[in-house]
Amino acid sequence: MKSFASRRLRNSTLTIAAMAGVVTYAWWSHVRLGHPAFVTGYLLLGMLAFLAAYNIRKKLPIVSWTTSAGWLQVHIYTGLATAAVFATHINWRLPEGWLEGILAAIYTATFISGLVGLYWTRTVPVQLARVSEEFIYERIPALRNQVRKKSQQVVLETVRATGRDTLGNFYSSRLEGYLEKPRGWYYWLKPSSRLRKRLLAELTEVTRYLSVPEQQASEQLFALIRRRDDLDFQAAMQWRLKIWLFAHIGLTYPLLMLACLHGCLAHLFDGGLP
Amino acid sequence: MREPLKPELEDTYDRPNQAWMCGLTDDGPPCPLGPTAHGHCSHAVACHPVREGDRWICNRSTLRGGICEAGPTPDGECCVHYSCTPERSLRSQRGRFVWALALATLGGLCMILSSNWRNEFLAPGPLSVHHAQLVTRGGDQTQRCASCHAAGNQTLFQWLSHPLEPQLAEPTQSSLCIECHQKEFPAATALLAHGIDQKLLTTTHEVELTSRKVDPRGEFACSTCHREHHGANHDLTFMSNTACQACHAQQFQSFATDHPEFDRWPNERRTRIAFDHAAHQAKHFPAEKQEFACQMCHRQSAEGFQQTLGYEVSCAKCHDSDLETSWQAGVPFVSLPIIDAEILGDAGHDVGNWPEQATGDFDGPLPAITKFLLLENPTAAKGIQLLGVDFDFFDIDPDDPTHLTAAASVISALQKYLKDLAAQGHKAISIRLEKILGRAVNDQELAAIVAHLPAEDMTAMGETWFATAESTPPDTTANEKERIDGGGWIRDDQIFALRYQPSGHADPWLTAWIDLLAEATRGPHSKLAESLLLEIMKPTAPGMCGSCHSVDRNANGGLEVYWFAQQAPSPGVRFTLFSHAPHTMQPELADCTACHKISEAAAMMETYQNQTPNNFAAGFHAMTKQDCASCHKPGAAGDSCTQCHQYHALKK
Repeated sequence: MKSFASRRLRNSTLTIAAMAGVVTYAWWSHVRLGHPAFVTGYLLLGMLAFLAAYNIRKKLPIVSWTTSAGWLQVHIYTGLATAAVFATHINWRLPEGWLEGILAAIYTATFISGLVGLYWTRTVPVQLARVSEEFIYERIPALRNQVRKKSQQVVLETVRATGRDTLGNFYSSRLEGYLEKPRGWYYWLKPSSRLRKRLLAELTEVTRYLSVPEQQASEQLFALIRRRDDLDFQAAMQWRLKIWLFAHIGLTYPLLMLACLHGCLAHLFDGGLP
Repeated sequence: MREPLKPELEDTYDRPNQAWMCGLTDDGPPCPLGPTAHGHCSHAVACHPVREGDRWICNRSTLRGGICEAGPTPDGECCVHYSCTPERSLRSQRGRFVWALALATLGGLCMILSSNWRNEFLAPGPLSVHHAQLVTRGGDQTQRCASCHAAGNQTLFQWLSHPLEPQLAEPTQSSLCIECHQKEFPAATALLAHGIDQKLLTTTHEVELTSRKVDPRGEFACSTCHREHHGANHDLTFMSNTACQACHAQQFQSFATDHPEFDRWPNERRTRIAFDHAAHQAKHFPAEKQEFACQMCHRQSAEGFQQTLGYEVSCAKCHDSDLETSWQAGVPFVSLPIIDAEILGDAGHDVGNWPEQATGDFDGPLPAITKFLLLENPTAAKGIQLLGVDFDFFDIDPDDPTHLTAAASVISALQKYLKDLAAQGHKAISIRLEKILGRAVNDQELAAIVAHLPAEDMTAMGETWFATAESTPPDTTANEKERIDGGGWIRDDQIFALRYQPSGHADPWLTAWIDLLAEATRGPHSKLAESLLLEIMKPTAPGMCGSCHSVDRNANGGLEVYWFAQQAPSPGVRFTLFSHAPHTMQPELADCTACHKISEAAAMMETYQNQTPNNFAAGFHAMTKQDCASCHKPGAAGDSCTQCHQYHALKK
């Protein structure tokens, strides 16, 4: 823990020092009637290319430098440092042109998606660990089906064995839809246990009208509802861990392309001397 | 080998990094082979039955559920077929999404860059209104970027060729700026520091490059300070204090603490009109029972510059009588001196026919204007130089042959001048002036200096004076002066003189001759002309011009007569700007004396006896920085450099 804290302190210090260095250079150049935007622009472009190379490094492990975790650390702190370089590059004012506005918006979206991803990758695993067991994301649909089939089987067997349909009616009216359909989009954005609690409460209410065999079956249903909810929670949270990369990586290449175009235009339209 | 507890689920080996996944994954155990690399179902079977005798036996692995109940078909085929529609893995979907976005961006850029919307898309922001209204004129809006950028109307291929063909970057943006702004800023020096010649810069600035952030001897692109594309209302002329201090060695943190004292500013030179405020306030105005108020003589121009009202408004009431007295006898234009023709003849100088009444002992002056015109004759010029510009014939030493020779040369030139006047008229004057000044005299100038000099006067001077030397000319001056109140000529045939009667202050004839004399101080007869000018500008000379109008030596060594007070900032290099307008709006500054305090002890009029305008005693106490710093501080009136100083110092 101590080494983690000291590593974070070291990396943060280095990053802040680098950011301060860039801001200081821009001021130094500005007071000398220079155009620091060219230097900060090239620096920013280089940093973005380096950040994008992290994805290449994952695809080409043979050219790797240090471990993936090491790369990730450098990627995170470099990404954070780009904020200061970017702000210095645009001279702390919002761009007004279409190209520059779009470029700034894409950069901001990429940066924010990275921040969101960083936050999720630091918080979601902790939340996942609190759930009963670990599930592989790709297997969750199959496990959901398994839960649905199992609950259906339990209810049918009980109905057949007891000849009473109280549990069956409750299953068909309240549980079948829940177990068959995927959760709504709101749950994917903000998972909660509210529905699970309500269903368990309703099942508890029904229990007093059940016979002993049905009560035994309902106990299995309790477990299956919890499992289904765990699966849904795992799916939603793991989806978060995967979906932010769609935005983060997806925006990276348009960002690089527009940045290169912007750099070329800056040279082509530069207000130079005769 | 240990078998899994849940073989139907846990025997699978997930490969989320592969592009395709089995479509059966959601419902149960996926196909053991999985989809092909191109996403096709491999249509696998659960086992390959084994034939034992005439029976086919299922050999499905226990990992996949063991021997199935249905068993193989009669022809030995497995009864469990895996068939699905393979699905892309999330990783593959992400890859396609990334590619799609990248391609869409590339395609979008290609479309935009080849469309008419290219300029709008590439522009880093709206132009300021001053430039926007210019470049948006005309029909072809696609070319407007080219007004300021060479690359503005180039094709994508030309853009790509820039590294190989540097001439494609021509003309540069600064050149295009100057193309439009050459009226305000001379192209030769527009990009130099302060837009002025470097030699001039080094004379006004102490160049200490070691302590400067930027070498001010180089050229600066216009865009160094003027940043466009920041919106319609962006102030293009804004210049920060930081930008000023990039070149200036002396660093300022604030006006109040670091700015040097004003020294002699705003009185960097004496006023063009010699006016003793202290004497007028203390003596002359009270004597005339007049109120001494600044507004009686000064007013503020629309630009905020303090202007001085003219003579007629401010001075005429008291000084007109002085002027009339000074030219009571008129301004001599021509007069014949009394000469001793006998002595001159004995010395071998035949003066020819000279009026009897003007013959005797040497006596009489020559008018300054006559001397000026005689400079055309090199011999006469030498004679005048020998005798002294202010010579009088009374000073001729009859025993000195050189004096006699000089006097004879002057007399001879005078005779020729008068004969030419009679024969050629006004042309005799213009020809002489052209030789003296080295340039042609235009019609307006000639009209001013001859002031309708009548032909009969010229004939009389050239012919009658000399032809009727033995007779007594009639007295024609008795009533003549009263008849030419509006200015004109008075010929006195008794004393052989022609005088000009000025019409009043700023008489065009008198001022024209003074200006020509001043111009001649820059010519080959500079010394003689200078003496003649100073003679005619003496405070006691007719017209008393020199009483108020200063004579300054200018940069090229000649003299210059200032007829007017400064009514607007002078063209040339000017670093400091001041407008009275925003200051006099303040109640406590409405009274001029709040800043301009008259110095009663200053001997300011004495300084007009020389011709050096910068060597003077100001009639007002020097202003101090503290007078301004009480308001000009951050948070109040502000103390930025450009509030009082301008970068483009050269004004045409």
